[in-house]
Amino acid sequence: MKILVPIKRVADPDNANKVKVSADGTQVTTEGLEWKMNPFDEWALEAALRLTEDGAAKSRVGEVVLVSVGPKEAVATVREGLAKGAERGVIVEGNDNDLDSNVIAAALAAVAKKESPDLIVMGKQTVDGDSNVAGTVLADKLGWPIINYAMRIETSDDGKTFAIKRDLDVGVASVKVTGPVVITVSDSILHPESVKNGVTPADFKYPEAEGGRYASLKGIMQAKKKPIAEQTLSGLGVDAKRTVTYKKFELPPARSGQTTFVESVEELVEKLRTEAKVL
Amino acid sequence: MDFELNEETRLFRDQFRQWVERDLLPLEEKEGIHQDAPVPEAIAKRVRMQSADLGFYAHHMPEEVGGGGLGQVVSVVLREVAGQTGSVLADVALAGPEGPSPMHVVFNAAQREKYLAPVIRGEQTCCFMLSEPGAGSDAQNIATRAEKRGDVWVLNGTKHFITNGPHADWGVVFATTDPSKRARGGISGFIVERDQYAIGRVHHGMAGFEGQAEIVFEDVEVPEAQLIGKEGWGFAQAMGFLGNGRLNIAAGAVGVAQYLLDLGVEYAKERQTFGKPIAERQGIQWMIADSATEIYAARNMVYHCAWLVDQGRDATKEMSMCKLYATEMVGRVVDRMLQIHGGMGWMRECKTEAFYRSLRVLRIVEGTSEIQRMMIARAELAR
Repeated sequence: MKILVPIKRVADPDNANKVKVSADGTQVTTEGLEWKMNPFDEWALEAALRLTEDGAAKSRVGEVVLVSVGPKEAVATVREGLAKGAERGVIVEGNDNDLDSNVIAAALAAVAKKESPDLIVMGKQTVDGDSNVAGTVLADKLGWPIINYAMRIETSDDGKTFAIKRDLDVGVASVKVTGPVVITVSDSILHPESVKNGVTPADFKYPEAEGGRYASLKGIMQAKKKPIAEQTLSGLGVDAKRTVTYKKFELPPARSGQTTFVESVEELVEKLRTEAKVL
Repeated sequence: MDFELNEETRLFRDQFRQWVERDLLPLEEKEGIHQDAPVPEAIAKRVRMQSADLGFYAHHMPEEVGGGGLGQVVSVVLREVAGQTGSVLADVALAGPEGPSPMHVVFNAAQREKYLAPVIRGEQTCCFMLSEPGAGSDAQNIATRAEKRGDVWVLNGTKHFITNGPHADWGVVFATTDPSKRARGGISGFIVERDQYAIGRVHHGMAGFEGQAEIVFEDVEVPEAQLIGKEGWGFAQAMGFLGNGRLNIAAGAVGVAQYLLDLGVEYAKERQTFGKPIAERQGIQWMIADSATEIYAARNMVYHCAWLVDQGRDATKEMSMCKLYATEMVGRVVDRMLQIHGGMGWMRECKTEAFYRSLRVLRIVEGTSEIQRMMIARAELAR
């Protein structure tokens, strides 16, 4: 089975207070930010690695190709994914400020056409733009089905068909789909028994992990030798003109940090109505 | 001049930090693990073995014995991160005296297989028995004796302040084999197994939980196979590695100082007196400024010294300088940050309280500040 996993580097969400807006409010400045793999993409990578390995024997039985659309520095994020077990990487170079979900989806579609994977697994959104549309637009461009918010994935025919459970606000939806298909995952995909691929023993349980597996020193050293291909948007024939533009950025108002205790629910409701004016 | 860490080191560091923050700190919270309570052995072992699996635990050991083969810069990077997270289990995850040390590389093939390999995998632990009631940094004065009787060595003597003594599966002990030569070919190193020695009194310090054990040897017969290296030269070999421990302590001190400064800054911005945050008061600002400046100085000393080591240059003096400056520095920083927290800083509920006690020992272990100054002065005067 061959899986394409789009990944993106994002400003470290744990250091969100370092995010600054340029003086004219037209863009978010990236200076001084620390970068890490988009957490949703970490989950997607974990799902893809589980689908393409024998978890008990710790051996690879398929191929995971990472693709990142972004600045050259994103190579560090791709290398991290390779160190966790993916086989190859592709970087499509682009300036973050020139990219929107449509451009990214077009670039991913172009790479997918070249790679012909059985499956694309990706995060449902990135924590910077939070648009939550790239996966769906990508599926549309490829003419493939899209299954959003997957929490369980089962396949037993090397990825030709999938039984998927979707994590929805109203409950769990079970679907069966024939590949190739685009799947976006929810955090429940990290459950110890969320992925069954017909190779890893059915009773095998992965360790509980907040963000999926870590790259070991051995993995980091092996990743140095794994190939990362460099592509350009024009080389892929992608129309790089963004269609969604941001008018203005502003930081949320600073919190006062003050806590007021109230004696009763009535008093709380009254204050929310008259002082906070949120009711 | 390039101060950037390479890509692999950054990735290795970030993975370590993520592991500590995502797995170890929540585990500490769940299990109620803190500085003054013992880490249950089952948890410690699990953390060690996971650390070994990820390559953190024996990153500093040569590849020929199953280590990661990484240099001193990587070691100080990891030690600093461990300190920065304020995690107790992060210290378990990086080998201290209970784990693999470059000193163990002098073991022969059979000794590596039998003793070192399980320690590198995190399955077993060891200890380092050098100090005696009458011999600390002046280790050449040790009174423990090893005499050859037939095929075996017979050991008699008492070691003290031995970290991990009661839990270790084996230890390295130093004993005089030729009193006329002492440090010049008269002190040998032996591997001793747990059932070959007795645990005496366990001393408990002002912080921490493990206690430092007294180890007693009474006519202990040790086979020749447990002699380390060449007879009479174990001491000289061991001394060559003591400096690395000093540098690691300095790196940990830099990390903890940063952790404490971050706590102090956060609190200073929150805590209001007379209508504004104390962070706006000059008296508080100077404490923060001095601490940040001293951390910056210590961090650069430590990184530079580690770089010297990786270049294969003699950094004995610089290791002492780092140990001296960083441990004295973190003592000043914890004092200031406790002061910023005011009354709350002195309470058991506040993290500054436990660190105020636990950090005090850093100016004593692995050579007191005075010993470091003596060594620095000797190096300067010998020029």
